[in-house]
Amino acid sequence: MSATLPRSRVAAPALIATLVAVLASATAAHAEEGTSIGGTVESTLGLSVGEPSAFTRSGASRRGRVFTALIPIEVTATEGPTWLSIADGEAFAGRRRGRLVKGTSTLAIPLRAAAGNGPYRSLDAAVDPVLEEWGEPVSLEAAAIRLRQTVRGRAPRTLRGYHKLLLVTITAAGP
Amino acid sequence: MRPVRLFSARRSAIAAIALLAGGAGAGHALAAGGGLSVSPGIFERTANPGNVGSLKISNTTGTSMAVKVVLRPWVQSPSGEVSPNRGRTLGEARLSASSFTLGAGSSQLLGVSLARTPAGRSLYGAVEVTGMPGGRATNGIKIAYRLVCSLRLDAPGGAQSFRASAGSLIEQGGVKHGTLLLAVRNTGNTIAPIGGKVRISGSGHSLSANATAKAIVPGATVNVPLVQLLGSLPRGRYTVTVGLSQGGHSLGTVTRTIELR
Repeated sequence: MSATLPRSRVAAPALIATLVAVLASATAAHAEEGTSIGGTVESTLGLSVGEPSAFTRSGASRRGRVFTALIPIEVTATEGPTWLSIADGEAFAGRRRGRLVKGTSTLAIPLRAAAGNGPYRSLDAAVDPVLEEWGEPVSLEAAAIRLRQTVRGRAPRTLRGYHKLLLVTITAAGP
Repeated sequence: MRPVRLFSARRSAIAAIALLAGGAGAGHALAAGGGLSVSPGIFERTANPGNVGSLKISNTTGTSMAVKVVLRPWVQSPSGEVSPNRGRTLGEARLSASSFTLGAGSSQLLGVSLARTPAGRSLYGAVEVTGMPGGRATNGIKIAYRLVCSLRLDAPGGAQSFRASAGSLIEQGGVKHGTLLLAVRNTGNTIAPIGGKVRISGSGHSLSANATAKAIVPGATVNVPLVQLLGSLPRGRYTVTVGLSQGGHSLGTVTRTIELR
């Protein structure tokens, strides 16, 4: 299973830290000359999403066969807190909500998602499950959404042909 | 010597800026990087009819995106989590455009207006921005961007109402690892978080704590955590007194009894 984000974007926070250090050094020297340096940041909420990986079978248990996939993301938010959640982009109510679909058939068990150290949460809930929360402003904060699909009984042995539109969601500061 | 040292540091800063710009640019080119953004992240104004401001939506990816913007009410769970109610829209507030194609690297300004003074004098909801990149689903999963900003159209100062009604106490878990919560309904017209001071007494023991303040959408009910129990009280019957407050305003005192198990 692999999922990619551009390396240089992931490295951007390190570059920003270097830039800040150099500017701080310049500011310290400049302060002696009696000039101040400052700036403001526009209130922004931004999201970057990488290519999701394919579902791969990651195990089996008494509960059934388990398939997993990854979605890499980066978040920029100037207001805290910020919530990461994921929602079904095709059905927001009813039996198909949160479930992979193939034609008219729907998997019995809903898709689940997790991020960071959080638990897997089902995507058929009435309120979009919060997967991760950042209490402070973040800049190009990298994270990965883990998707897990369990199938059992007479369900198909692979997820070939099943699909779903997912809304990767960033919510600024709640209500 | 000082001017020379200063010049050197400033030249390094310029080099670092160039490096940063180059690195970010390369990243955009590598994997159709960039993304979708909206400014401001929190749209807060006074709820006066007419134009209330504007939003800027930017597509910094390398492909065009079909963008849809909808103003929706919140749906809030008893734990306080919110998400836009995708079955409804906010009737009182309008956008200058709600559906458009945003080319690669372009931005769009949207005006927000209020058709009339909202019932309750305030209006809280979500600005839901959905961006659908072109192309087919890969690996069975198709991804769309969704950015949810907070739309806060506050009642004018003199018309703000801080009020809440308390429901029942809820014991989650047991006395050793549990949490005591109070169901609180925001009956006012502000989004200011509701919290308070808690005193629990009975069975020869007492405990004081500050309740965690929660932002509750007007009209919604949230279970506000009062105190973590953590074995500090034995099982028994207790009287719980909560002095609720919101935005620095006292909302009165609530008294409940509970049998802790």
